[in-house]
Amino acid sequence: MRYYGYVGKYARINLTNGTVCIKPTPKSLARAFIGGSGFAARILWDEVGPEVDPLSPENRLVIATGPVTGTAWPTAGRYMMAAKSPLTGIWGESHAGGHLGPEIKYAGFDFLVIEGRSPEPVYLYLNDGRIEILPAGDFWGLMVHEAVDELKRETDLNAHVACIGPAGEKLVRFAAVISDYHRAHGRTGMGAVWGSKRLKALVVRGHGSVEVARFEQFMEIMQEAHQRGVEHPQAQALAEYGTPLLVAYKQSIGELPTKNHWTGVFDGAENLMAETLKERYWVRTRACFACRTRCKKVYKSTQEPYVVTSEGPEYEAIYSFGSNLGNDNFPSILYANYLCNQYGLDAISTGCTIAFLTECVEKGIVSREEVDGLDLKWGNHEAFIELIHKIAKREGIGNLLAEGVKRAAEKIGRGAEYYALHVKGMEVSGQDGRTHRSIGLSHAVASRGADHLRGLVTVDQLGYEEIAAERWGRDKLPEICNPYSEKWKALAVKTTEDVYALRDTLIVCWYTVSWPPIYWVEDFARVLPAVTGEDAFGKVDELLRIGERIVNLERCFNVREGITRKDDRLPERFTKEPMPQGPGKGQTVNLDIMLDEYYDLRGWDKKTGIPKRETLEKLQLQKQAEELARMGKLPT
Amino acid sequence: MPKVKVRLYTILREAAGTREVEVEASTVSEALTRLLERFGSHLKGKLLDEETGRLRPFYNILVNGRRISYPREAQLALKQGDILDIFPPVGGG
Ligand code: SF4
Repeated sequence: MRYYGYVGKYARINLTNGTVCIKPTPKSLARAFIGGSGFAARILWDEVGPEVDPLSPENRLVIATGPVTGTAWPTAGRYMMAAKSPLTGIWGESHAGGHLGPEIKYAGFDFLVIEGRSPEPVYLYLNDGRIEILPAGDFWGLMVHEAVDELKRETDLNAHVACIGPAGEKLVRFAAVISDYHRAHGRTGMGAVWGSKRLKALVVRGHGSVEVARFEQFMEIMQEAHQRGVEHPQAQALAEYGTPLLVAYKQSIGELPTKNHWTGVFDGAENLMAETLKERYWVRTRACFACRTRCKKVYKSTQEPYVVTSEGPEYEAIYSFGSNLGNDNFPSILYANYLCNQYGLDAISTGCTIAFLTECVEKGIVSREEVDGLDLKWGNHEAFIELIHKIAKREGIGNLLAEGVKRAAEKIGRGAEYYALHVKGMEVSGQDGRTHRSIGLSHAVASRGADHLRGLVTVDQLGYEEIAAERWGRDKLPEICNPYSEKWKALAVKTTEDVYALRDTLIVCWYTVSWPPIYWVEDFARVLPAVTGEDAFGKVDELLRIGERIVNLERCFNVREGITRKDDRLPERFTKEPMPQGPGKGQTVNLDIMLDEYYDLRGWDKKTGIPKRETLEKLQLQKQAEELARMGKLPT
Repeated sequence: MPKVKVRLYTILREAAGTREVEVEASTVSEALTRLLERFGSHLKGKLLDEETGRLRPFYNILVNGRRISYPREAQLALKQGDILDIFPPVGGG
C-alpha cells in the first residue's frame, strides 16, 4: 500500500546515455524523510561521495516535491532541487515557488534524479507520465524569458518551465535556475549543475491530481489555514508590501548590510523602503500556487536606462544591489534583479561579489586597470550593471567574479580575503550577527553556508516575547529576545533549523513559517496525516525527529566532504570589527560561546563539530555513522 | 518637556499621511497619546486593538533603534532628540 499525497512514482534520468527509468516512490523513504529536502539528503548521501566533482557527470541533481505539494494547502506550490554545490563543494540546495512544483506531481512524479552529462544540450519534457529528453540546441544561449517562450511554443503553451540562462551554461558558480520566469532557485549554484549536464530546461505539463487520505478533515483544516494566511497581521503586511517591508525595520535596528557589510545603516534607505516602492513603482501583486498571502510585487521603472517592468526584487536583492553597494537608485536595483532572472544568476551572490570587488578597489587592493577600467565605487550603479553582464558571460573581470568571492579572493591575494564575506564559500545573505546575534550562529552552521533560509531565527530581531515564552519557556526571557546577547541563541537556532528542515519536506513556503509564524510544526502535524494517512506524522515529536534527522544527514554529507568545526566560522568583519554605526555600535559576535552550546544541543562533538555515534544512531542514521567511522572521522 | 521624533511606517504612515512627526513627551506612553491626539481616530484604529485598547498584535516600538517591550516599558523615560519608531508587523529576515 502506498501513502496518499504522493503520486507514487519517481524517475531516474541518465543524460549521458539518454535513458529514463520510472520506479515506485519507496514508502520507507517517505516514512523516514517525508519529501523534498529529506529525499534529496538521503539520495545525495547514497550516491554522491567526496570524490565527485560538482560539475562532473557523476554529480546527481535531485528535483523533488513533497506530499503536500500540489494540494490546496496554503503555499503548497514549492519544489526544490539539490546537488553537490559548485560554489561550496558541499551541500547544495535551493527552493522556489510559482506553479511548477504542483505540475510535476500532476504529470505523475514525486521526484526526479538526474545524472550524467548529455553530449548535446537537451531539455526534459514531463508530460502526463512520460518523460522525453529532447534537443535544446536551438535554445542554448538564449536568455531565460525568450527560452521559456520558445519552449512553451514547442511543447504546450500551458506548460510550466524551469530554465537556465547563459550564466548556467557558462558554469558561473552561483548560477540560478529560474522557474516560471521569475522564481529563482538562487543559492548554491544549481544553475551551473544544470549547465554542466547540458540541461537547459525542465518543461512540465500534467493533468493528474494529488489524492489526499482524509478529504473532509483536510478540507476543514486547509480552509482554516487559508483564513490565517489572509487574516494574520504578518500576512496582511506581506500582501500589502511584500518582503521589502524589512528594509525600514532593519535600517532602524542597524542591520541593513551596507557597503559589503561594513555597517548596518544606509543613508539612502528611505529610497528603498517598501513604502516608497509602493508609492512610486508598484504596479500589481501576484501569488504563487495556492497562496492567498500574495507577497509578490511587480514594479515598473520608466527611468532611463533602467526602463523595465518586472517581478521583485525581494528584500535580499534590495540589500545586495542596494544598501550593500551603497546604491539608493531603485530602478537600477529593479533592473539588476531583472538581469539576474534573465541570465539565471543568484541575486545575493551576484551583488555580494560586486560588493567585494568594490571594497577591494576602495582599499587599493585592486586597481582600476584590473577591473577593466570600470569606475567601481559605492553607488555607481552603471558600473554594477556592467559587471552583471560580465559575470554572466564570464568576460574580463567577470570571469574571476563568476567563481564567487572565496575563489576570487584567493586568486587576488594581497589581503583581499578579509573582504570576501562568505561562509564555506557561500556569500553572506542580508543579515548581520553583530546586531542580530542568532543569525551569526545560523550563518556559521547552516549546511549551505551563509544561509538565511535554513536556520534564520528572528526572535532576537523582532521580539514577540509571548510566542518566545510559549516556544522556549518563560525562563529564557528576556535574553532570548536580546539581539546583542549570545544567550539561548543556540537553542533557538537548533529548534528552528529542525522545523525549517521539516518545512522543506512538505514543501511549503518559508515566508509564512517564519517569525511571527503563521504556520508552525503543529500545523504540519495536522496536515500531514490528513494528506498522507500516516498517523505517525501527526506527532510533533516524531516530526521534529525527522527534521533533526535531515539536519544531521546534511551535516554528515558535509563532514564526509571534510567540514568540521574549523569551517563553522564567520568572516572576521562580524567577529572582530565592531559595528561602526547605529544602535548596535560597538557590537561584535562571540561565535564560540554559541557554537559550544549548539554542538551540545545537537549531540555533536564540541572539538570537531562532527555528530557523535549515539546521536546518529538515535536518528536511525547508523549507516552514516559506520561510513564516517570507516573514514576515521567519527569522534571517539 | 523633551521633544522627540516619532517615525511611522507602512499602514501607519499611510493613515497619518506623514512619515515622521515631532511631539513633546517624557515617556513612550505619552508620545503615543500625543500621536493619537494629533491624528485622531483614523490612526487609533490602526495602532490600537479596538477591544483591548492595547497596541495591536505584532507591532513593535523602538527607541533609538532598540526594541522595547510594550506595555511593560510604556513609562520608559524619553530624552530630548530621541527617536521613536513604530512598526506595524514585518516578516523576519
Ligand atoms: S508567501 Fe509569497 S513566496 Fe510564499 S507562496 Fe505566497 S506568494 Fe509565494
